[in-house]
Amino acid sequence: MSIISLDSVRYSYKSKYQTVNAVNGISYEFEKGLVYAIVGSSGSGKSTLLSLMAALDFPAEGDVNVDGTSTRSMDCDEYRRDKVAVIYQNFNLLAKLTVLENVELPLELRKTHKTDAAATAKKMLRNVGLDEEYERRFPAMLSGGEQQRVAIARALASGADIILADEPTGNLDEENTEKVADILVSLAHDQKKCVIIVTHDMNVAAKADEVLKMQDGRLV
Amino acid sequence: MFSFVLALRNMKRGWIVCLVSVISFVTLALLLSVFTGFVNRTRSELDSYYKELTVTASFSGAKAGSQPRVRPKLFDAVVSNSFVKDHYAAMEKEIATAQRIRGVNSAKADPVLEEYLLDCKWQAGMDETVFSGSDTVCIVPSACEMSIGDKIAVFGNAFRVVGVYNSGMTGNWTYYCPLETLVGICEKNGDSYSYYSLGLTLGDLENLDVFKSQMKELGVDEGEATLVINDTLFRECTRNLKLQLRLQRGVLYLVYILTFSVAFVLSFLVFRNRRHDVAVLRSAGCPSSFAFMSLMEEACIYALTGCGIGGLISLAVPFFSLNLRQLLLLFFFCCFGAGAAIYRVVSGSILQEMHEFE
Repeated sequence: MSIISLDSVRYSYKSKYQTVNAVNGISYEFEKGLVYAIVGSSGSGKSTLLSLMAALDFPAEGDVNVDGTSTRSMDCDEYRRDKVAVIYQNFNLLAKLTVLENVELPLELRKTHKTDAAATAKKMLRNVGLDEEYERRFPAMLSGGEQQRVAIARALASGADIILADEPTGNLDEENTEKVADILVSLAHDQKKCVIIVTHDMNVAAKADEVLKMQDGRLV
Repeated sequence: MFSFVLALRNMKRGWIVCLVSVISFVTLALLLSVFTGFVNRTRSELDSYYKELTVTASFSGAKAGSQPRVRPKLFDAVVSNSFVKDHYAAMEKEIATAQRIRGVNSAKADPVLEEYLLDCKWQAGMDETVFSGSDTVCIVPSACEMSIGDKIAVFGNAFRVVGVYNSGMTGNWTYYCPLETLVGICEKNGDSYSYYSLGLTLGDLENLDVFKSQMKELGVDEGEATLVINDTLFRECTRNLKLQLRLQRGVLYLVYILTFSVAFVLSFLVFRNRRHDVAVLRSAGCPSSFAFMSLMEEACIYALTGCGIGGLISLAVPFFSLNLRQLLLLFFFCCFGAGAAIYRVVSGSILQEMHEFE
């Protein structure tokens, strides 16, 4: 059974000069335990589609359904807190929080006890290969690859079933790209998460179980 | 609680912004305090003038050289006026040819009496304060050859002589008795009377014009007496201070506008830059109300600390002056500016904010 399904999803936004139909009637079903790669040229609507799945906005037409419930009719804060985790190309870590505090954030928002939150966060940091010495550092003191691993640890700590990764390796070198891609694949295969990766990188896409190509807001 | 923890972390790690905000709010509080201090100092100087200076008023005759005639009804209305702090008055009744009795409540009411009292022999334990009472006593001129303890019959009342003054005049005798006693006798006998002297000491000088208009309503200048208020010196002394106070108050209002505007803009600018933080928090499932609360708590701490330190300095430095209402207003505008910025930040589209920071 699909965990997330797209039903004729359309989304457009107004740029400075024109209205852009970013997503143009996409229907698709995503399942747990699989890695999906969405590829396509810049401006094809990949990131917008991912944002709609993260309930950062709603489709103009159609529905994004999670476990059979439309994102329109659900508590989006709760959904973003409990069911979905997003990994961004620019990491989106909070600069004034330490690495450990960034990873603890989703747990703290869920009112997890501080001690449990810290234990879980440390465990997730170890899972992505960051040892204790990183915990007290601030994001600005880390390399791009390390920051992305913190972002992944944050996504893992949330315990979400859906991991959405928007160009997660866009700012990384080859070695770190390989590491991050492997972590994401293992999340789907070992922990039965639904991992959806938007990427330009064909090496990352090659690791996915299914590759979806987008062009002009449509799956082709 | 977590929102507060987040706010504290932001303050601790963004200490430069925190420090700049607090220092700015302290400065604004002190600016307000200095100008309020100016106004208060001038105000208290003016108040001390109002307290220390005295203004007197007296009735004079309607025509030059004539004695005033103040009727009892007008007298009662004037002396019961709230501006009148003290008064002296005198009245006179003819007893017989070349004999008259004058009632005074103070020696000041009759300038001639003041002179007589310089050389007056009093009964032991008696002095001029006797005039402010209501005993049936009087002082007499030495020319009438009466002694202390003698009695004189006046309108059926026996007045005991308690003092003898040296007038130097013969054949024209004036006795002086307490005003209240003589008024009581006249009223009892149904005799008409009027006051030939009435002097006032005025209080509440700040509103002296009100007193003048009240007196005008009583018609003091329309009858046989005219009220003369000796306020020239008082006006001279207070004119410059009043002008200075008006000017300083005008400047203080400008300072209010400036201070509150700066507080609003500063807070707005500090929290406008939190768009990315808020977008990240909200993308992680943080409710917008939580994000709003967290930032507002931070803003309130900045404002409270700034206004608090400013207030304490104002208390410590004698020249500075700041009241609680001004501090609360400053605090309100600091929080209002932050609130407006935070509301804008929190209610923005997460998607748009995230894309802007890519």
